Amino acid sequence: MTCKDEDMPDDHDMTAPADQHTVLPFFPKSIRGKLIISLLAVSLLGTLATSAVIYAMWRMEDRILIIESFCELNQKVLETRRYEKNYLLFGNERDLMLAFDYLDEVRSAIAGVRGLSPRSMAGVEPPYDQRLAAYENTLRQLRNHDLPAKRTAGLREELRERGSALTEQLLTMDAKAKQTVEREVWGFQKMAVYILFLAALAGSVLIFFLVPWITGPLEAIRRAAARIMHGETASIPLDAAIRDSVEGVELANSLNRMLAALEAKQTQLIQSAKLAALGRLTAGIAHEINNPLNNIYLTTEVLLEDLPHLQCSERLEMVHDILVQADRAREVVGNLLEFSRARKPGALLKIDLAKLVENSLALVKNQLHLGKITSHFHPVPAPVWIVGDPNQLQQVFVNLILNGIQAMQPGGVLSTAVSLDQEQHLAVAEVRDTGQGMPADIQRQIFDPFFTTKTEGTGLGLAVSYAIINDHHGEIKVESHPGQGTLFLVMLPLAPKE
Amino acid sequence: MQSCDQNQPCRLLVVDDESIVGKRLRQVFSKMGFEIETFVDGAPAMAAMIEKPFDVVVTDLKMADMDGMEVLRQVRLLYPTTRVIIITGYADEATAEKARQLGVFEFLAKPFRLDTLKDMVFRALEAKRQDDLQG
Repeated sequence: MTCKDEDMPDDHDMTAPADQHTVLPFFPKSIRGKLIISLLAVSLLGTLATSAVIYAMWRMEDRILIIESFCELNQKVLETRRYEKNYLLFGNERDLMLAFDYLDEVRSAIAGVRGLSPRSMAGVEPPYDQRLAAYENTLRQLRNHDLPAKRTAGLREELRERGSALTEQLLTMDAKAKQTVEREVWGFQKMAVYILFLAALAGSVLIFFLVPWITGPLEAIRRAAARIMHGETASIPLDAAIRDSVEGVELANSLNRMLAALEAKQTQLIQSAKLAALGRLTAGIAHEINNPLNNIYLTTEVLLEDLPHLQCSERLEMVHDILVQADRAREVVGNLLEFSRARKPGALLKIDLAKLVENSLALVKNQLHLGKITSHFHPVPAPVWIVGDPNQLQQVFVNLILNGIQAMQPGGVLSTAVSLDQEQHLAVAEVRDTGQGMPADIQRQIFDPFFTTKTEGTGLGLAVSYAIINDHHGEIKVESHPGQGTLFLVMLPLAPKE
Repeated sequence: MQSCDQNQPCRLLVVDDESIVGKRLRQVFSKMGFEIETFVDGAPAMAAMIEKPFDVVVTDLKMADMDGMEVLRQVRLLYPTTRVIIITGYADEATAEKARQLGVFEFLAKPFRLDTLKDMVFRALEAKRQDDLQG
């Protein structure tokens, strides 16, 4: 069928996009172009399907015309035979002449049928013309009045026979033509259904290939963004999937520029946070050093002014004051150096955290006694192994315990505990006091260098503890509410199992 | 003797959690004829102030219970002619500005020389004397 031939190239078209974008250089590289191509392909499919159906209907109309022309031919033949019958019944010469005339119309109807019938159809078969001629011949002979009666009777019989043969054959041809037309109409219907089905199939294939083709670059950018979120990469790589579309490249470039700007901003933020920390540090250092310096100045000046009038014991006390204040200043500087020095952990050892906390408690036994503080220690039955520098970690716990003791009035309770968090693979140490607790704004600052709520001390203890625990890949947290005491939690990774 | 109203000795209050500051200033100013009281906390100092007002207050900023800023605020509220000198190891610009708004007489950074403080105290006394004459 001709229509089959027509949809072959179309079939080729729909599978093309899947591989053409890697093969053909002129294939669109932008999402806009891809969308236009896709829409064109879809509308081409639609147009093709519609024109196929229109063509089928047009052909069907053709065939209906053939049936109609056959009808007309049939009518003419029947008309001729009606006059023939009248003549045979009444012997009227006029009927004979009319039948004769009608034969011309039959001929023109035959020409009409033949004009409409395509070659593929039988139409009016040539033997029919001979029969028609024979019938006409009989008619012509009957017009001759000089014939003997016997001959006339024979001719009349012949005319009836030939006439009925004409009708019969026409009926056969008509039925044949009708059959052919019906078959063709069914063919056209089938073809229209095939084309629609093919269009639907092609549409599905198009969707299957076009959607990833169009959204591919966006999907690649989305994946890259997810990788950036996970910190696996710093920028969106311009890989093949993204380079496949102009918009994808533009989007990736803008996003990369934005990422770079964000990173610059972040560096700037870190820098200003560092400056702020340095500012706080400076304030702390200034305060902690200026106070002992001031005491030394004052004492020295008074000594200079009044030396002759001072009693010996007074002089001794003042000189002692100077020494103590000088010590204080030195200690501040020492702490500061310790804080800022790269804290190279000493030998990393496998330590039992419970034992370490117990040792720290033993070190501050005297302070517990002096402050009239009760101490409760809840160790786990088995050792809790961690890896770290025992001296540094000891410093952390002594610090936390002393802080707790200093936060409490006599009669307070200091609870320490060591436990295991197998799920998170962590060792957890708790130091809890029953002191006055801290409001949230103070909690936020306690790990800042030189922040202190005490009149004595450098404000470096918790800052150093924080840094040490951080160096051990652990975490130190505080939980406190005013009036409800304070809990310090130290979480350290467990030693790897042997 | 440093005399103020009705030939009474001038009264100086020193509040600093560094006890040495109190001890030394007591030695210096009592020898100069001042009546001086020293405290390491703001609250007892304010109690003493209410009992018998002082002419000049020298206070540190950072203290455990009541800080110097609060001492300044209360003194200026209760005794507007009393002059307050703040001595501090470190103060940022915001704190200094707040102190000025509260009516601090002078800000003195530690470490300071005795003469500077003495000079400041005399100027504070003079300012108060002017106020008292006008009032």
